[in-house]
Amino acid sequence: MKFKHIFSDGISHENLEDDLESLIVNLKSKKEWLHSQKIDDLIEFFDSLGTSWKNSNEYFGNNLKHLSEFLSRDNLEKELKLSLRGNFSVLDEFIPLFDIPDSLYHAQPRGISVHWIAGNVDILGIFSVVQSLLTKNLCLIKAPHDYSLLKKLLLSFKDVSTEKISGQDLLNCITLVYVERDDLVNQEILSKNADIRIAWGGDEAVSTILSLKKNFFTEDIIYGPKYSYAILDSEFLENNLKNAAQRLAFDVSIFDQNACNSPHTIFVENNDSDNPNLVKDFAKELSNSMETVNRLMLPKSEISEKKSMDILSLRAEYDFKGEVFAPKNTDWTVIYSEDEGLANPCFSRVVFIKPIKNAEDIGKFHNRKIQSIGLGISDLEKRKKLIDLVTMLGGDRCPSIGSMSKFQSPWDGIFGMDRMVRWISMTR
Amino acid sequence: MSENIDKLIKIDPYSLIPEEKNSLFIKCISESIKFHYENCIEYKNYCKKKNFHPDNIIDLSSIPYLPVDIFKKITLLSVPKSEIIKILKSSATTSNLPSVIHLDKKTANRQMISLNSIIRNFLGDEKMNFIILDNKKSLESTDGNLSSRGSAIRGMLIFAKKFTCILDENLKIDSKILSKLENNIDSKTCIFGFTWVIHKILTENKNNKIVKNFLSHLSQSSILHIGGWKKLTDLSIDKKQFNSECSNFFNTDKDKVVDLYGMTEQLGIVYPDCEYGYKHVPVFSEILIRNTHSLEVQNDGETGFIQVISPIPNSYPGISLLTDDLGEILGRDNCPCGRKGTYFIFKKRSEMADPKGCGDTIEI
Repeated sequence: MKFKHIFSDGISHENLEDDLESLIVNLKSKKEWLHSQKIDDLIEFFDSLGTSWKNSNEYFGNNLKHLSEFLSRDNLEKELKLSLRGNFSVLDEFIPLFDIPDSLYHAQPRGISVHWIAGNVDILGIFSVVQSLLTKNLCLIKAPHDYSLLKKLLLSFKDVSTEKISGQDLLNCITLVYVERDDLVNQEILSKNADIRIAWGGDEAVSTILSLKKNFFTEDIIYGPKYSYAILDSEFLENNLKNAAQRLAFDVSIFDQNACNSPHTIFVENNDSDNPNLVKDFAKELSNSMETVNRLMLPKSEISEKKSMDILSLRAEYDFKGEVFAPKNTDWTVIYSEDEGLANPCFSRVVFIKPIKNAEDIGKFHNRKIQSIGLGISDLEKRKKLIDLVTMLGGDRCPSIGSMSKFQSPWDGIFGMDRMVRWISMTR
Repeated sequence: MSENIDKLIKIDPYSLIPEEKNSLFIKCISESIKFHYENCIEYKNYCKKKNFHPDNIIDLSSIPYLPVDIFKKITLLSVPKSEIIKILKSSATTSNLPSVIHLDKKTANRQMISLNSIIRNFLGDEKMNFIILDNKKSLESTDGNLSSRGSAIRGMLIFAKKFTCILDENLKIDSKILSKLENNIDSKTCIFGFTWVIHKILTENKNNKIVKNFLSHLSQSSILHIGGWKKLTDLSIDKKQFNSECSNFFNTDKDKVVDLYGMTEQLGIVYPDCEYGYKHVPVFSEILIRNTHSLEVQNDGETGFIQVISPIPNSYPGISLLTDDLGEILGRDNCPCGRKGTYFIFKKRSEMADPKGCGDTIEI
């Protein structure tokens, strides 16, 4: 299967014969309708959609809580304000900004947003689709190989109608297709028709997308490939050992560590000579929490045999040169190691705990591939100083531990919705 | 100390039913574990971490296993370095690191005896002419290091009346060697090589009448191949297709094409296909199949990781290894070929199929 038309106009097709170009022509015809919608009505729709998902008896994936929180009116308004110079009415009309007296500003949609969605974390694609629709851009989505949940989430728009917008109308602005990576003909068509290219993916996938021809004015928004980790200090841990373990277990487990914001290494700064076992104690506590999260909250997804063997191999290696806390099966693994630096990611709920003398030393391992740095440091001034120092070379967001998985702006160093609009000015 | 092991490796490899084998095998493996526990501090610590003590073996499943690729990452020795006579290196596959296996004289001897015993059971006692589908330089060691290919070939030469490597350094048929050979083949022949090398030769020479003509006119040839299926799996070629291609090319019966399953990390034990296509476990080893997720031992007929257990390694604690190969035990003692003991099929190597995405950094 090289190409598949999955759905358009809210109708499921699952058709291998259709032509991508004609689907794009159809999608473009919805441009005026979307442009004419008011941002407040769009926010109202998505807020209702989030509520509908939250209250539904249907299964919409493990990460539904995240999605519905993201879609709440309060959150969307905050995201829009952050991205659009503090006033999201700029999406509807020309308005003044920042008390500048002689000019008015308007944010126009760019046109068609093409989303290349990675297979690892299906809901991340929903975030960029919602952002595109809020900024009134049409959505052409290249689905991952297993697109069943993505399709289900999108088609469920139909079940929601607000006073001003029906889900069906909004669905008309979305076309979902599957295009194989090596189907360069259709990949090029996607790329050439994109006014915005949004790529969620690993090194290889993103490089492939970036190598496709695009229009001169096409905006690229690249999400991934990124690496995340956490830093805790002894002062924080001594007061919050259990709580820190619970929160980090959640951060590690939520996307089975496949997401760019999933931590793979947890550094613990320990200069407390009175408590030399603190780091190992934390590793044990984290292993208890990993088990609880797996059993009660976020059951581990199925993994390949190869991944299972990768985990066993890593465990054996650190049975020899560190300490391993793990169940008999491959559900999760906590590894205590004194090796320097960031651990290579194994994914699949394998996390390294490493003692470090001085948290500021972590900066030397930073580059642009670092995304989230989860923080468990009590003193605000210490935190600010550390973040400023370590993010000089890389690192895009520094949430508290327990919130690493929350999608928020800025993401990967950019305000996504800002990049999805063209800024127009006019003299008053 | 190793009396039982030495006794075990002298037994006809497929002659014992489980009731006869089990107690002896457990004695041997116990003996071996105790030796490694006492002589390899890293292994002792590993066992302790697994809450295992050699005095408390309940059954084979209670023996800790090492993932087979641990020898790519860590050097493990149970004898002084001065006793090492040979260092084997496996082919570096996906990880680009080879397994490094240190052999002492005792291990090498045991390997030779067990391999001899297994192969004779399949090929018979009469020595054959061996045509090696490889280059003779593969057999040479460099500074005491020997590649797994070289080691596997050398291991087979004890069954050869005479042998000839017929490939050049680029692993292509050397026509000069072939023409010299033409008048010198007068008895039963065994063609031996690595699976992927044989496939390469078949593919390159399918229209080469001279080569085909020579190789298809060998007397009652058996084709033995070793080295795994990774490269052929990548080409979507399965065992059935490979056997069919081999049988056509070499003009021999399909059941004369024998895949030898084995690994550098436990050299000396190979698991050849019988004429029914099943792999047989000799008395010098045992296999368990473990669920790929829970790691629990599977029932016969269920697929999982193949765990190989053998008391043969003396210089390194490679006695219980979990491979990344998937297999299934089909039965015990009742293979129509008549061999006793466990028999199984190798299904495939484990493959990567996990979705990749925005967290997929190749390197940090």
